[in-house]
Amino acid sequence: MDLLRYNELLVKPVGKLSGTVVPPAAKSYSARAVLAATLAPGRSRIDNVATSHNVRAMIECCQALGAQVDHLAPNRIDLTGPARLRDGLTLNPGNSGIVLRLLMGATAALRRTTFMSPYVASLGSRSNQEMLTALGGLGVRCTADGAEGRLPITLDGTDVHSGSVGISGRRSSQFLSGLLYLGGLLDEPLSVCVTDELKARPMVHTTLRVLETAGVRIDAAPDLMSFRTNGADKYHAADYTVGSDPASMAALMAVASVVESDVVIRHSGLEELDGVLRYLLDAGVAITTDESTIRIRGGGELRPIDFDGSKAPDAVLPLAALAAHAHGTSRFSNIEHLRYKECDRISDFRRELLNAGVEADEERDALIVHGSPKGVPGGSVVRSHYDHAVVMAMSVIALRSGAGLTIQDSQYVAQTYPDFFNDLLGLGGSVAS
Amino acid sequence: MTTIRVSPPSSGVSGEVRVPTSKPHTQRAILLGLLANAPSSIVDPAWSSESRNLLGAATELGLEVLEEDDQCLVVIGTGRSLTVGSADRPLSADGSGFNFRTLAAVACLRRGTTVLEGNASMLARPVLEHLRFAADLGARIEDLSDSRHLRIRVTGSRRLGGDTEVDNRHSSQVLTAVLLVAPMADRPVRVRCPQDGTVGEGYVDLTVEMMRAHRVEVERDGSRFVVQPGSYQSQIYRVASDFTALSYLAGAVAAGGGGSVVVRDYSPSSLSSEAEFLEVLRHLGISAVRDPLAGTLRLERGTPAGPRIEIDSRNIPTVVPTLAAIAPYVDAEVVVRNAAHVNNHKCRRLDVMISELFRLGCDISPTFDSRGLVDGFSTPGPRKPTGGGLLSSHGDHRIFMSLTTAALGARHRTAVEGAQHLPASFPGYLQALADMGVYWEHSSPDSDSECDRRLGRRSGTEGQPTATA
Repeated sequence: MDLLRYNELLVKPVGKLSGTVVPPAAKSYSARAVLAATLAPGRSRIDNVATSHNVRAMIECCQALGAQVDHLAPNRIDLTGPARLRDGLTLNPGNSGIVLRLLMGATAALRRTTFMSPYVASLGSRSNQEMLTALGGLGVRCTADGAEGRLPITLDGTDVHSGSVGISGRRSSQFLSGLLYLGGLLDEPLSVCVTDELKARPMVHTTLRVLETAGVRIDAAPDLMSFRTNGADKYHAADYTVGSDPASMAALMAVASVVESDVVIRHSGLEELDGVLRYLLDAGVAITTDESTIRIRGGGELRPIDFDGSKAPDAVLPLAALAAHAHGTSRFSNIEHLRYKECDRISDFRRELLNAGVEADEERDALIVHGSPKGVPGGSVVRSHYDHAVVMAMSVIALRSGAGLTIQDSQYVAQTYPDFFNDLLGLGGSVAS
Repeated sequence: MTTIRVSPPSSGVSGEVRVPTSKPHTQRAILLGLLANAPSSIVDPAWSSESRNLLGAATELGLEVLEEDDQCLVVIGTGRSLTVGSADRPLSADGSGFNFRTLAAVACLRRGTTVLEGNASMLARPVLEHLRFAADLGARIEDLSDSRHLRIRVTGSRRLGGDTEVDNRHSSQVLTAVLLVAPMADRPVRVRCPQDGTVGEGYVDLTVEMMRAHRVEVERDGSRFVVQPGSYQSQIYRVASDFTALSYLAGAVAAGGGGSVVVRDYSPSSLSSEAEFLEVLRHLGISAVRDPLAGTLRLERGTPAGPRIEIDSRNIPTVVPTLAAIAPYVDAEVVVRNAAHVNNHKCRRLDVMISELFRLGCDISPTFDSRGLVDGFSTPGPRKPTGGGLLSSHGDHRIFMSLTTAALGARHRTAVEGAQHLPASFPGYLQALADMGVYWEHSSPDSDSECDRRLGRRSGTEGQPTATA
């Protein structure tokens, strides 16, 4: 049964989980690699490319722009970048902020590219004003239908030029990453400085890593507050190998930690998950690791631990779901930028925590979870808000609940982790349509 | 009855116009939007009572409309989580065969039972005997019709799949219905069309193409199809322009004495018939040049490809009446073959066009196949017909627009009856004429006869047409 064909699922409580699970490939690295390969004329190879809907959206946009994609194996592609990208397209970034913002940078030198998304209540309601202002400063004519630079957006880069531009990093680092992609396309040096603060630093490191692999060197200040391209480096075809997806890894670790379990996670790299293993150990989860596996024996008592969410933004929701079962209160701080994701991951998520029966408070940039080792009684209905992270976090809570949780719009887990429910079944979980 | 009197333009046609978008694309986009388990945008949908009815039924089945304005409909589908059916809430297909057949197929996916109704006009059509696919695939259909309604009860199944045969001789709609729901089945669906002579081949192509655009795999080997279980993906579906509507504007350029007409927001489809029609136009000396950045299509008159243009119209049935209207104005001999099937449409379109153009004063002759049956028509080269008189649409919107097109090249003002049928495909046609600089006026039936009297009905209603070189 293909669980993604249903728009709500009942995730039932489980006695014990056991087995081995392989998390999906990283969507953030995959999306960046696919775009960098598209911008490089010639043939690049991407190994372990993600099959999530977000990455699929990126691949389809790149194909429209002229990339030729050959699927050599289910998760290996050869991608041949065109000599010149196509003008005049309408691109659909699906529901992915990173796909949209990277493409806005990469197409800002083309004539008339329009971005539209059917996800009007999610990506379509997110502001892109910072990016439009920055691109406008570089001579790109930007028109947005909605207020605050919401989709649909049309960019006309006929008169794009290099120079120096400031960008806000408070709500998202994705705009910065998009500008760095544009910098690699311009013939003169581009200077970008962050005008306020940068919250999601791990993601910027991923951008720099991929651009370097593509041959575009960026002179970055150690504090990641200013950047400069040299105007000479061009995108070159390259080989990329994608590691494990941090959001999915974090969710699997929380799944395995929340109930009695013996689960081995076989991964390929722990990018963007700084501090997560430490958090779990401190919370009292029994973990052993080697180079490519993490073995978790869950079900013990959980201690409440505070977490600086800027270290691993994608781990905040699963860890918060786990913290709902600790003895006491846990504080997740430095996460205001999570308000500008598929949903408001502080307020919307907190509302669903309350619906599920978890006590929680919020501040402008913090989520405070009051845990209870008993777990929630269950039987209630929660909504995903189009957000894969909410689906997985609510599944964590359902596993230790009395009667399970009905998750509405559960199919959006596929934005990042299409096999999440199948993998949960494989570990001994129980899910009903 | 609405009659207009159209004046031949003195110095060609020119201007900026728009054409409507395609209804078959819109109907399929609504159904795909319902079956996708994610939001979809339908850009530039073509609204008609039929597509409104379908959207209403889809809403009953669980489709949610997130946003709607003139240009875009954003919906969110249900995937396999359709609402549960109940006999208390029958679904209505009104008088639409397409809606009845496709909704019957969708109901097979639904929990509970669905009562589906069509109005009395549906009773005369071959509907029930072609719904055998439901039983073949594991659902159940019972006939509850009475004298005023076609009515069925569909009991869905959670174990759909298997093999079925579809008789495609009279309509392609059943095949389209089965194919559209097939990916949502629980097992592979194999469909075979045992009879030769598929009608609406282009519509089946359209169905398959749109399914593939939504990332569903359809294996096709001639008239055999295999569809594996899958999911329709979230999409932005830009509804293509209606190229048959475009044909009347191209016809105005051909018959109206040349000029340059810019069609705004022209969105080409990938239908083979559209490409074929544009190629035919080029041969006839009408260029259609698209500017993808501006989204326009420019129609201009040039020189035909040779002294004799032969056209096989098998794959372009909807534009055969337009081609008949254009042919008398082409600087070449024009022969159109394989058009007999057009006589099975709304009226006997081939016969009607030949006889009405003859009345207008055109030099047009039927051509015959080896059995002596009318197969097409030919024209000898440019001859300006006299015009005048009153031409009849025979209740057919396509005939009305084709005859109006032809009247643009006549010597005298000509009255054409049937403007009331325009909403069927091109509600803005008369505005488009005006935008191209064509003068026309409404004329009441009384003044028609007045007009006929004054012109002495010299448009060849009896005897030979008064064609002159």
